[in-house]
Amino acid sequence: MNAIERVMLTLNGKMPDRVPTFSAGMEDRTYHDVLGRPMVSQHAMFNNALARFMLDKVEHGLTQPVFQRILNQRMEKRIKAAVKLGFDATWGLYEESFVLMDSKTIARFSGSLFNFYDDGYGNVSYQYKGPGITSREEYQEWPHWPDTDQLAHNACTFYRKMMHKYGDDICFFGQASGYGIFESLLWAIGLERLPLWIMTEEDLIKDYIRRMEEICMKTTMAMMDAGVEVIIQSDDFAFKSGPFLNPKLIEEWFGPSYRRLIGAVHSRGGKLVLHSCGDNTLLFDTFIDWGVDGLHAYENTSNVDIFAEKKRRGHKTVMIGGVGIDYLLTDRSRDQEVEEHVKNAIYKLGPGGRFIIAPTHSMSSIPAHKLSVMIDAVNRYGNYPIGERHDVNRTPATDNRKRRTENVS
Amino acid sequence: MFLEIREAIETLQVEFIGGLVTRCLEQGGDPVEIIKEAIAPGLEVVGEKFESAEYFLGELILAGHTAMRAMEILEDRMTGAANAKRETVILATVKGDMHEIGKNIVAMLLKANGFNVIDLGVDVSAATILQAVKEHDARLIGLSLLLSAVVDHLKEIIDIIRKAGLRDRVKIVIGGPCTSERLREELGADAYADDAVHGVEIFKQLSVSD
Repeated sequence: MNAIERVMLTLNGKMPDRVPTFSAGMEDRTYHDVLGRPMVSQHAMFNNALARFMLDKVEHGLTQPVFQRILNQRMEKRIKAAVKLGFDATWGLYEESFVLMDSKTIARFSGSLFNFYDDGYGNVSYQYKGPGITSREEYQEWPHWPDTDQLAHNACTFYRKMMHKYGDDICFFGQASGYGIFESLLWAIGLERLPLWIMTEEDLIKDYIRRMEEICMKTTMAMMDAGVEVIIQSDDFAFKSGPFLNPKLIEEWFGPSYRRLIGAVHSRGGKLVLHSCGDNTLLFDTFIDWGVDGLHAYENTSNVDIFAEKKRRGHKTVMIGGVGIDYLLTDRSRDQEVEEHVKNAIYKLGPGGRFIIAPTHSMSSIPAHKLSVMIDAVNRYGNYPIGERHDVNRTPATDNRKRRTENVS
Repeated sequence: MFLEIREAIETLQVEFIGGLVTRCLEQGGDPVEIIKEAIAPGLEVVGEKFESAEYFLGELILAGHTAMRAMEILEDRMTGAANAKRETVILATVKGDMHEIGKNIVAMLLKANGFNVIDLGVDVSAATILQAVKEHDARLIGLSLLLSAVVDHLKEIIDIIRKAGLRDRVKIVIGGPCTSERLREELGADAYADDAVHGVEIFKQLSVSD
């Protein structure tokens, strides 16, 4: 059984030969561990007088293509590293949502602003700075909305290339610039404004949701045109202590868009997985009702009890996650702890299928070596049937994971 | 009238609260009494509903907006003496971290509860925080962080307050996704708040404790 068959069987609620693995994306530090570090660090490339001058003073029409080229390379490296590490599935992000503002700031076309920062490993990363839309006028004048048809075309081109290069080795969970409808709105106008504007600026909110649904729908269809069977929507509906909004409001405002999107994916024989950070326990039934085929994250740091969820809703959806990034997938943990945790997760979450083991998120603090330890443990303990007891001497599954690089120490 | 204002806060009547407060003042209501007898109890009920999952973060923010609208009207009418009695809280997201959603919600709820909030923003250095503490003669600091990579900066802040000889006087509350009671113990902060409502409760307790 190959990686794609393994993942698709699982998403169809059937039993594969082994618990599949999913790479929740990789930050630069992690894929550099796998593929090797570049000669010049990104930080050095961006943080010098010439680069700052170019980004601050030169017309962005000239610098944007260079920036996009860097992003495209980055996106492919994430996929390549996931293949080399031996994952069965990977988050395949096509990122064409950023617009350069200056040497410190980028905007997402959907209205939010981000600052560049050094991730601590010499790489340039970004973190949310704040909303780009703070008034009705700013919304009406927001200049960065994309040409959706062109964006969809570019996403299709990117995924055709990636499918051609890696499509036999790994199952893509495709995302193409259309970030989650809810979180895009949240970032664009800010959490402080969101509940107020839902009351006072109803037409603006409806218009925003309509735009984002169109972007998500067109890029999703484009990815499926390229052969991607699984779509991942990244939409953080919750924070550490629970949903951002009342679940009734989430259903009322965002449910219809998600039902249409998921319906369109299903009508073409595809699957849709929803990634949502935070404590979504009170929203899982809503998501399942929308028709999602799988749910990713189950963040331990947000107190989500993935084991309780297996008992509650494990028969209704495919659960994706189980390996925390706060300690286990860091330099601080011991390999043996990772192996024990994976073994335990498989033992508790594997029975009955419908489980894909994965990190809860991507993070620059994740060393590739720990992902490698995780995958080795899955190969050792993840073969079906998984019962009450594990045979630690079980023969590893036949798999596609002999491509691991030498420089993963 | 106090009851109507209190109910308006509880039921998130952001559009009507201004009219109610203005009418109450016209009828001779005392601004400090309105805060004590109507706004604060209303917010307390909102907090209880949040804790029992009847209300969510969205409702909490709306309640903050509602109370803030009331406070804007009341602040103009408060005497200098009443204003001087308000406890000052210095809020900041620590150096290296740009996340401020949680901090902003806490700021909004603190203001709505009658605190004088000095919000230093994000990516704030230890030296800036110390300077603000001295400048505003503040006894309360709230520090927010999302990224575990910047935990060391929290320690720096606590150290600089200690070195300035202010540690006994100044109470430090930490909050944010990567914080915990364990981290509070490790760093020697005074309190850990696991959400905005809890944070405000802690500041209320600390403000009356000395």
